[in-house]
Amino acid sequence: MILRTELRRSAAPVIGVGVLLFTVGMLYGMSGPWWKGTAPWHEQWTGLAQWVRYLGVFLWPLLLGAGAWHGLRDRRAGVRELLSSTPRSAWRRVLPTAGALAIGLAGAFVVVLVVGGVQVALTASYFHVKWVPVAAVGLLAYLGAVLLGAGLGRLVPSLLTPPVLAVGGVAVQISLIQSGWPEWLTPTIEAPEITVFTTVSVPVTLVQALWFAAIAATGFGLLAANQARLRLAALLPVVLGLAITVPVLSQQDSHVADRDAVAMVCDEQDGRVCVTRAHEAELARFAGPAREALALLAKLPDAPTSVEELADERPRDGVVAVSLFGDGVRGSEALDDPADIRLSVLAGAGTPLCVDGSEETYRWAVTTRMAMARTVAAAWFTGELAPLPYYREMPTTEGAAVQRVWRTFRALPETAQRARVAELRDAALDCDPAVDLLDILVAP
Amino acid sequence: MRWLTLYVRSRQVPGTVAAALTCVVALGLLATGSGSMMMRHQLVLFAVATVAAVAATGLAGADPALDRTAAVCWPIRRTVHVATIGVLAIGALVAFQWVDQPLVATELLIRNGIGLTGVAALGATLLGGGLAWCLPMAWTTVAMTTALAAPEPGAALLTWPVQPPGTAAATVAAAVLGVSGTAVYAMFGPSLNRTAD
Amino acid sequence: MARVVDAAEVAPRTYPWEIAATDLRVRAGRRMAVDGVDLSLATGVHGLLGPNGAGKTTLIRALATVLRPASGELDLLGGADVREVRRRLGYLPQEFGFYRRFTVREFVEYMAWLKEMPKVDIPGAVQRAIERAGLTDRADSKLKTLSGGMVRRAGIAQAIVNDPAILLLDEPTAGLDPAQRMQFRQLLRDLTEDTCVVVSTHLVEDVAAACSDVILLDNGRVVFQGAATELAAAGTAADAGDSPMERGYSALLARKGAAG
Repeated sequence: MILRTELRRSAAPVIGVGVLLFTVGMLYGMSGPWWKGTAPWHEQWTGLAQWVRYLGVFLWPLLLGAGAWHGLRDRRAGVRELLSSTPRSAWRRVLPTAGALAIGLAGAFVVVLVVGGVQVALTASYFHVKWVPVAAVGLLAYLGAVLLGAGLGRLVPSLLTPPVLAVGGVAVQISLIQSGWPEWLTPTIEAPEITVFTTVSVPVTLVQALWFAAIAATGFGLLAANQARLRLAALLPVVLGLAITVPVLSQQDSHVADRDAVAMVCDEQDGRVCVTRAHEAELARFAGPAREALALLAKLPDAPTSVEELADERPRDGVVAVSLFGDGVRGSEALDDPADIRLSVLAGAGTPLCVDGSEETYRWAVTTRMAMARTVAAAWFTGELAPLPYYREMPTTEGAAVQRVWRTFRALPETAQRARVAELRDAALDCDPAVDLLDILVAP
Repeated sequence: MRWLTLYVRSRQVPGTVAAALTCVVALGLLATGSGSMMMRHQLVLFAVATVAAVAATGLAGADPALDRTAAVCWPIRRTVHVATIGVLAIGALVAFQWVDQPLVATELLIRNGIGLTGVAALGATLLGGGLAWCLPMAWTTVAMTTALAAPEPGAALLTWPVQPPGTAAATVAAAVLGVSGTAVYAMFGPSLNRTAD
Repeated sequence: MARVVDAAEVAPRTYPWEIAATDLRVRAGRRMAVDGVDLSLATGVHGLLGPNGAGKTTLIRALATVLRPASGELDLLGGADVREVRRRLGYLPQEFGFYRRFTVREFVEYMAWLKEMPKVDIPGAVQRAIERAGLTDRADSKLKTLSGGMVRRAGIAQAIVNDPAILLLDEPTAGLDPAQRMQFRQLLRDLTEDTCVVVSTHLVEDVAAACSDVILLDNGRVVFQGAATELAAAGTAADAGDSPMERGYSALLARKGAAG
């Protein structure tokens, strides 16, 4: 009964609606990275949970401030005199309030997950429940932020507390982004790590759950405490939590490979074509053109015999590894056109783009030269020069420069062309950053 | 002068300004210590939002109804109050950059200062003094999350705080918000809802 | 309307006085606002009068277990422990704070829950309390929409919701119009049977009409304790005041001032 009253009259519904509007608004309002990549929020369960947590990067400071506003309530209403003449213990009194806040947040979360979940369920090929703890930890983190804010608002009942706490939260978040401390102390997940092939490791999820639960406990304790020593005791969970989580989390890798997602699903007739289980739905579309490309690749000495989707490991010998969602530098959507699929398999003579993640690889000149080399190599198999998918309308791969390279290359004798393409393939497979692929093709 | 002193104390301006400036210094130091250009940019812009939001708690006195019964011409005084907040927001950041190192174009500071102050004033009218900070903070949160997600954020009207200087839509949005927010606050004062919480 | 009575209510009282204070001293800030008060109050309505700063509110707060006495003895309900006393206590502070967004009913329910009333009894008790306070037609309006007098009545409702053994009302009739004050006095009369009510007020008429017993406090000490008629009799035509009670009041204070 009291819970129902608190649900209606406290800040809980506003906070819940706010979180819901923000999350859904951001998801739909922007064509951000959560629509692309291997784990879009509307196509993969992994993506749904992790992108929703990603969006909380600057939301939790606002929740801190909103919680502080709620924590001011008692002081602003002037009820402390009246409440101190009642027998009910303080923590028992605060419990319905905390419960209402939890329900408000949980409601918002559930709605967001349902909105995404319905879409994922309709397209899903890869179903698992590993994402549920990830989402649950996010909810716990938000609850922790609100309760901590409420506790701090009760501790320092000034009108300035909510905005200052919100600002402080953003400052903490940004300094965590910049420094080396684990960002796992906050609810967010970093965007580059959100792929369908990895999942948040279980120890990290557990430790995070403990950490956020400690924050929530501290907030609750501060809300209920009346005396100074009880307040000090309430700080204990956070201190303990920090002492435990920081050493543990800085040693862990946040994401680990998701064995189920990475497992290969294959189509064996006439040459082996495999995709990861996570992208099983793509196999039908991918198999035909991939086989055609494989047949063209037979011109190579040491020709590869199967095509696989590139997951997280470097390709083995005799296998062409192809990334289905972009090539690692450009693009992020799956290809539709069979000709495009063929070209993406042939690119670089059947090699994936060699990206080592360092700044060097992304320098414009390097990427351009690599792109031109791969385009020309693919063209040698098909006999005509065409820009690679994801590289259309780029002056470098469609313009005069690549035409020149093509003509120079074609001017070489046939055996030399084959030798150079084979050499390019080997060099690309070795992935030595010092080697320039374009030089292999056209250097005299 | 006496009136000004009493007004300033009634709105708890000293504490508010102190808190705002402390936040600016903290954020500014964080920005200076940051390696990433984008982060510094974000932080400085966020500092503008901070001043507007924190100072906005002073936009409503303890009893808006009582204030309303006064015979003074409120619209002018309210406009001056909002303008002062805007000047404070811009000036604090300009001073910090002058003392420390230039991080962001002054034009950006002016644009964001005007726009966010207007939003804060609007927040004071719609939500009351205590919650006025929600509006500029929420807007900035949306903008910053957008900037983090995509370095060239679209929807310039919505994410105007993080748009590069010279983006027409962002400048227009800031100007419109600044002027209309100030006007609404000047006309209606804090707490549009007379029996607001 | 029948209601369930628990064992504690029908058990015979084992203590003579609901409120027994011996040489009570209570600090308010730096001052000793209550400075050696002896009180023995049984059931009935007791009025607490005195000039501003006499320590009335501090005394009431100490009786409400909000303040701890600095020294002296204070036995409420025969020395029961604090939580038990608070369960059977009703308190309306002078500065009555409330959650503005709650409705009257929700707020009284909340206070009933805080006083650890059994959950099943709460709805009935709340309805009764609201009716006795005269707020039936505004029971589901938010507190922030009520006028000052009605808010005060909501405060009275929350004070009586648990049928308290000790009822402490600090300025309960502030803001009430004359008709509402008469209703309030009738309410007090209805309570007298098993409640010890202490009403602190400036309105001497309320005291005269409803109180069986008057305590006059000045400078933290009890100046007079006796029937209302005795208070009136203590005054003569020479004292300041527009009614016998007021004259008696000024007379006693002046006498105390001359003596102390």
